Amino acid sequence: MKLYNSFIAVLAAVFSGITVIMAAFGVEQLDAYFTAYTLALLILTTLYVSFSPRARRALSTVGLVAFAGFMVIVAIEIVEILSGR
Amino acid sequence: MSKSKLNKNPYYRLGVILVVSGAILAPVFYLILESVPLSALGISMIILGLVSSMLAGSRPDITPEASQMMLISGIQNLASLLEELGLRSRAIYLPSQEGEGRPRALIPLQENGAVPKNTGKLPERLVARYGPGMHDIGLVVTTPGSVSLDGVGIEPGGGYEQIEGALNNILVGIMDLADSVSANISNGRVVVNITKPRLKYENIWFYRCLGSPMASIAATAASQALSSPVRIDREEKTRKGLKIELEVLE
Repeated sequence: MKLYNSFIAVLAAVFSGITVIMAAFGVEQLDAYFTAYTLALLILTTLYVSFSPRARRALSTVGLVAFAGFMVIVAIEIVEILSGR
Repeated sequence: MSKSKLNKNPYYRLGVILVVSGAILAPVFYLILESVPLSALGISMIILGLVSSMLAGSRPDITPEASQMMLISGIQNLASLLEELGLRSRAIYLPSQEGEGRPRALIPLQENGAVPKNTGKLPERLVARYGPGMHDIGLVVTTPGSVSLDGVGIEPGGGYEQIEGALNNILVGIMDLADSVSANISNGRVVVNITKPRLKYENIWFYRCLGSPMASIAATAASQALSSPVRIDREEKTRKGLKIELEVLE
């Protein structure tokens, strides 16, 4: 499946690129990396229009899990801001 | 997909390897090496693994290779039939009738005859009469595109916007026959551009009658989406791939 191979390869390249760029800028927060990965995954899934509805549903599940993780990070940040830490 | 089938799937195996490696490496990098970028790389491995294993479950039940083999054998059988009957007229792709059954193609017996208009409901048989005239008889066949539309989100009369999405799903996502497909409509013609097609055009009887397999699939999708009869006007090779022009007959 050329389409699946290309999606996985592009996603791996984008994740590696994000890690290298953020490391070069000295980012030391793990949540920042996770947020960037989630955004990259959601954007790439949207850009690959040729996926069958079944594949799209499967990728939406992963996107949803990643988005849930992102929301947890946001919630923690909000709690930290409100508690003044 | 059953569990044993899933275990043999290369995407599932890759997914499991990536998730397990990521789950081991991320805490090691974070707690022992105290490196945030390397830990992040471990998390990215977990995400990539989840993507790969989820894609394994959504792989078509029939592999693209098997789909291509069945497509070619179907074409060869139909080509033999057309050649034996000596039919030369270009096929007219009809949408499914009143939302029932599959879309089919009508090959009029008379070459260069008048284009059949308002064919009504054609009988479910190979040789059918489509008009009141003596010679208004044609062959009604199920084309490769008719079957491939199953399970693809295309509604009869759903509009031309559905053509591109459906063709991308079939030709790129399911059959792996091309890199991408674009479609646009102007002056009653649908122009479909296929990038890097992986089926070569052959000058065989079938292609002259029903068009190449990819043009046939495009015509079926267009006739279904527009709910109108469609005929393949021409096909030409371009620098990027294949350009198909479809004539909408109503």
